[in-house]
Amino acid sequence: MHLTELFDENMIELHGEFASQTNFFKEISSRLQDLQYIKKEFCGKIQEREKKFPTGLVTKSFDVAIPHTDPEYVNRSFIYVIRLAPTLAFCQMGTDPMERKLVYPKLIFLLGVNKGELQLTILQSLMKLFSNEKQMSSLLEIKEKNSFLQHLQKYLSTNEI
Amino acid sequence: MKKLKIISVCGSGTVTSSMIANKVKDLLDDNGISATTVEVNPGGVEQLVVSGSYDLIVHTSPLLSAYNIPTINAVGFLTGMAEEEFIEELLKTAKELVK
Repeated sequence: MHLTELFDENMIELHGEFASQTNFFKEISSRLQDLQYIKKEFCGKIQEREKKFPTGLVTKSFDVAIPHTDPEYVNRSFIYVIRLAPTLAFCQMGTDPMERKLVYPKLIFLLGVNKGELQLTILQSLMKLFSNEKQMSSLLEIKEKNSFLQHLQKYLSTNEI
Repeated sequence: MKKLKIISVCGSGTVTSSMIANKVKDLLDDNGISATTVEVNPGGVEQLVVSGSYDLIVHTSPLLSAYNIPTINAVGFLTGMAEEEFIEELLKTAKELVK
């Protein structure tokens, strides 16, 4: 499966607004369940994991987050991309959530992967994208879902790991 | 020279820890230090450390407790954000360990 097939216009949100992290996970999970990508346990499990192993990342451009959970709660692999004002706090990956080292993502890549090997490819590609300042700033500027999707797919297909 | 045994830790014990393990091995190799790695989730660290045969922990998820071997947070190495700091700390620690 190619990375670009993991995206869908129905799973791109360019003006996300959420009252809280819980609210964010509930809303996105409910959409994903309607699209039949996930099992009903997904919403609880992804929040549980985020509390134990946070996924907020600082990059050269701006903060991002890559929440994910175990393959067994995913029917079909996907990447849901949410762009938002930096108002939602995520703890920084690698730190103990008790330390409250917070980041405020402008982009969230919510990953659903039902095969472990694919997850490695996804993460490697995303890390490469995150370190590309030009690409990252375009992702903040693009106005239409359709061109956002095309831009992301074009970058990922020409920068295959 | 002593071969380093490194524990690479992430939440799943498979994905990010493998990415880090490979990058760490390559980096050490380039600097003339040979290393083997094992990838685990935080729950698997304790018994490896207790075995006494590991030298160093690199991690991208929080660790469950403090251990008696050096630990280095590798998230900056993953994103490239604090790559130089990580490399510096890793090489310094590794050189001490193989002395």
